Formats: sequence, C-alpha cells, structure tokens
Amino acid sequence: MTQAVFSRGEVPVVRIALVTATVLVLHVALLSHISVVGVRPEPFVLLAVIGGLELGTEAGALLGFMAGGAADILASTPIGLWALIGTVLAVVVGFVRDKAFSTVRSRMPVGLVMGTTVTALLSYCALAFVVDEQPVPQARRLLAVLVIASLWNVALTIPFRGLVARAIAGRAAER
Amino acid sequence: MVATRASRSRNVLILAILSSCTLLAIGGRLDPVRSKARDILAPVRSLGDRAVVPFEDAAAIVTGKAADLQKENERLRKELDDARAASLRYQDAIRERRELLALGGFADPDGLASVEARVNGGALNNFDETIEINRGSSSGVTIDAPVVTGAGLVGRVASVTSGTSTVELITDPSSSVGVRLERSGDVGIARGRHRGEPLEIGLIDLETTVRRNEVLVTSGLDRSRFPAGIPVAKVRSVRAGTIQQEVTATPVVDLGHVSFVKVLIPARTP
Repeated sequence: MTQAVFSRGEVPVVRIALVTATVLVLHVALLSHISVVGVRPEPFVLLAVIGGLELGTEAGALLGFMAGGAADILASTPIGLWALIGTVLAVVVGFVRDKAFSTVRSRMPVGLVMGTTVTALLSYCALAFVVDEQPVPQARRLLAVLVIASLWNVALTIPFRGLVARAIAGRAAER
Repeated sequence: MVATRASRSRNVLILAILSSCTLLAIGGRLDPVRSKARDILAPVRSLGDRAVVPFEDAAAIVTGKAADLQKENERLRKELDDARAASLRYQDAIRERRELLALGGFADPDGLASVEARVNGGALNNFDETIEINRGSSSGVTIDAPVVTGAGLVGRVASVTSGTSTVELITDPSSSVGVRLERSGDVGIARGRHRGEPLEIGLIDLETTVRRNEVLVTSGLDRSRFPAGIPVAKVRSVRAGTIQQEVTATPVVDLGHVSFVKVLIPARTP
C-alpha cells in the first residue's frame, strides 16, 4: 500500500467530510451500543490516526480536525477540545509515519494504534480538567477505558483503514 | 516542491490548531449547533437502539443472563406487591408529610408536574455518565430538572434540545446531591464516581449513627435543585475517618437498566 500524495489543490475536503459524517452515523447507530465492561470504541481517535498514516500530515490534519469535531458534538466538554486533539494527533502520526515507518507499506502498526489511542484519551482527560474543570476519572475506570478502548480500536483498524483508503486516498496520485 | 509542500502542511496544521482554539474560546456560543446536530442524530440513535435489541436479547440467552433476568423479574414482582401493601398502610403518614412539607415551604416531589420519557440510550463516549431521553424543551423539560423513577432519583437534566434531553446520572463524577439520612436526619453530599462504583457520601459527622442499608433521601436544603424526600441511595459501608465518617452508598435505582423516567417540572415562581 503506497502512501497517498495529493497534488496541489486536491485535498479532498468533501470526501473527508463525508467519511467523517459516515463514521459519526455509524458510531451513533451501532458502535455506541457495543461495549465491554461499559467501555466503547473510540472511532474518532482511530480516524485521526488512520488519517495521519494514510493521507499524510496535510489531509490528515483536516481529517483529524473534522473527526475531533464530530466527537465534540457527542461529548459534554467544550466544542474544540477533541478537534484540537484530533488535529495534533493526525499530524504527529503523519510525521512519525514519514520518519520512522517509511519502509512499512502494508501493515498498520498495532502498537501505534494502541499508543495513540491511550495518548489521545489521556490528553482529553487532562484538557477537560484544565479547560472545563471536569473531574479526572477514577484510576480503575481510567485504566479500563485506556486498555479496552485501545483494543477496540485495533479491532476496527482494518475496516476503517479500508474506508479511508478507498473513499479518500483512492483519488490521489500514487507514488 | 518539497519545501512548498512542507510549508503548506505547516500552514494547514497552524490553521487547524488555531481553529480548534477559537472553537474552545467561543465555547458556549456553539451549544445551539451541538443541540441541532444531536436533534438530527436522534432518529438514527433510536433506530440503532431498536436494531440492537434482538442481538442483546440473543446474547442474554447465550450467556445465561436471560434465566437470571427471569429470576430478577419474579423477585421484583414480589417486592412490588409488598410495596403496594405498605403504601396502603401508610396513606395517613403520606398525607401528614405533604402537609408538613408545605408548611416548611418545601416542594412535594409527588405533587410536582412531570413529563414521562423513554430512555433512548446511554452516553456516546467513555467518560460521561449520562442517558438520553426522548423529551426536550418542546415538552417543557428544562436544564437542571430532576429526573426520577418510581424507585428514586436518577439524576438531573444537563442539556436540552427541542426533542431530546441528556440526563447526568447521580453516578457521574460531576454530580453532587444534597442528601439526608432517614433515621438521624443528618445531612451530607452524595458524589458520583462511576456507574459501577458506589456513591461517596461526604460531610457526615463522626457522632452520627449510620447503619448499613439506611436510606438516604434528597435533603432539599439551601435552594437545592432537587425537592426534598426523593430516595437516592442505601448505605453500603461506613468507616470512621479523621474529621468525618467515610460512607459509601448504592443508588436505589438500577441505573444500568432504566427504560422509562419522569422529569419533574419545577413550578413557575410568580
């Protein structure tokens, strides 16, 4: 699988928005109903990570921003919190992908998905505490969320990756 | 070419981060946008709920939970019969209580207007302890309105759209409810931790006698948003602390299996 490259002016904003809307509907209709000990998947975090890995930093940042915005609609914290986390996450992942995993063409590093999910969730807890004075979750609950949500995201990586690759990266010139 | 792409990427990143920070700064002004989006998503959520129910039932049968649910159902029917009998015996006491509440200027929770609502589903993320109900501002639901079932307190309305509302459960870490011990009358604050964890009851004096399974009801004190007398929890454990007793309590309502609730509509002040 080659990394997508978008030539000038071809960042597919509409496709990115449609993919984000699709994941939003999927989460509300289905994913939010499935849980293990009350912990659900974090599809918007996964979308931001895949955006960085498949689309590069520029388009990935836009996908991360939109995915975070979708998560903000469903959360009780101020709008913009998840958008900020999604953007930074996608860009960092894109950068790491270019520098550290340029030889990896066809595999999605499981450790990367788990590590970024944990980082995103911890960042959310910290920012929610600072910005919105939300109490930090109990340690046991937080640990359960970090571990199980990461495993959920690993399980959903292949279908989400297929969605992003076909719907967005498929239009780009391949290198 | 590489330098141009790199600077464009940097510009996109800066723009996205600035946009996020602007959204954060604007904050509450975007709540109508969020409400509108949730209103649009509400039918999707209902459909998803209905679609998932057969699979949840099948899973319950496979895991043996169906048999447990049947036993639980029989136990609850018996409890209901006992409660009906007790209610008939205590009609006089109930009438006297209403009169005393009125004399003290407290709202009688049984006398308040209410709206019945169905629970659409639970929280959509992993950190909120909330449920969504199918009544909103068009039905008279307002923010901070208490939400109850026949058993007791569920929580308060945290946000409202025209057709739905989000209810913050009493087990939410942000939740705090003024409570009173039924026997001693001592007051405290019940704070949530998470749905699987008991409530923490603070401000109980060291001298107060607290018994296991003692009922805690809403205190209704100091312009509390909750009227007095709504059952909240039962004492689970008691331990003497340094300056106060460390009490935990289990909510009287099974918050994981609530299907229908009542939203209490506060009386308008003239």
